[in-house]
Amino acid sequence: MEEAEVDRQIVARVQRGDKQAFNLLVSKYQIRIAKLVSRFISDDAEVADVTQEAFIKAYRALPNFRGDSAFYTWLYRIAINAAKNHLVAVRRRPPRTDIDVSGGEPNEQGFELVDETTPEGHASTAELRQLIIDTLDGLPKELRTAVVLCEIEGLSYDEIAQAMDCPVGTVRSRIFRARQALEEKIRPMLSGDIPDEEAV
Amino acid sequence: MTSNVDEQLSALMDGELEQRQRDAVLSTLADERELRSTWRNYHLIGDALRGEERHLLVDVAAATRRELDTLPTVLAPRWSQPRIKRMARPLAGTAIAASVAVATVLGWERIGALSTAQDAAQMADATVVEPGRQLSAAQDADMAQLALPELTDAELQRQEAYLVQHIARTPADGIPGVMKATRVVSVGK
Repeated sequence: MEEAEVDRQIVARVQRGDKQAFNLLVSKYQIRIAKLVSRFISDDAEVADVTQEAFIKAYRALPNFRGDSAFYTWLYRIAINAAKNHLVAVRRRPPRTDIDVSGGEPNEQGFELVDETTPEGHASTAELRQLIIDTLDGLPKELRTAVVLCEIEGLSYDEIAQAMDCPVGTVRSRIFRARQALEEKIRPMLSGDIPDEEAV
Repeated sequence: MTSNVDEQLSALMDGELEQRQRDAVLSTLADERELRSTWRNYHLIGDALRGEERHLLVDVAAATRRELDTLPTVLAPRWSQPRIKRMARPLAGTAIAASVAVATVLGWERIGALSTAQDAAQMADATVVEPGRQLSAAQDADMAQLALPELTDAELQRQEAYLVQHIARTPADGIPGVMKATRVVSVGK
């Protein structure tokens, strides 16, 4: 069973009118899409805007999604187009007054966008990642190995079971316990701003 | 929320949950805000472990949701589902082929009927002898074979009246206008 199959199942729910299910896809892919968009756009606020725009476009286009490719592949293309369209739109409009054009080097867009990310923002993300790494390092070896093989090496549970010489059920349990420990540590740092079901 | 559901959620993320359990967990996710938060955090952990740092705190879910609330709900027809669509393709091809075949047969019959009517009209035209025109011997012989029995004026009038009414009541059968007149004339004389 593949991860793409889970996405397909969530997409099917959205196509049956379940908007809430689409938010699962947003939560799952927003960081990856933001990272992708940031290859085109340097300003973090614009990255967030274009990331959101990409998801909205994907939602609008979902009736046409036939499942010929994986959902993420399809979303990836939409995000790239959204980023490129954004760059074209930025080139057509005058630069915002809060951008320091004088310090930027001209490029194919006419000027270099200045990174407006606050140092505090960078510090928070760096702290968050460091907390995750530190917590991972402090986990029992079998939990750490299982979650690393799964998340970083991309191995299936069967492959991890063979590598660690244990039953698949044990692998599943170890990966869950590792995630649970990591999640408990980072939860206080996150806003927890998950849309309410009542808002549907 | 129980640890059991969380463990199933963890397995679902990795695509390692059985189909029947997947449905149940996805339904629970729709109802449990806390579980959706866990879903997001588990994915964030995965992204962090894979080296992402700068965008770890990007969270457009709430803003996207607010935007989605202003949009109409998307509904895809069931045939757009890939498996069903794959099955429907050959069926659609067969249906189109069958429709074309039926149209061809009906069209051919219709053309045949029109041809017969046109032939009849041409034959009727051929049998009408223009005033003063002489028939050849061969034509005379043919005409003799086609000769109708002698009819009285009353019988001719009755037949003409019958034909006029018959043609008038069958508008879809044959070519209107000249065709009707031709038939009447051809039988009368």
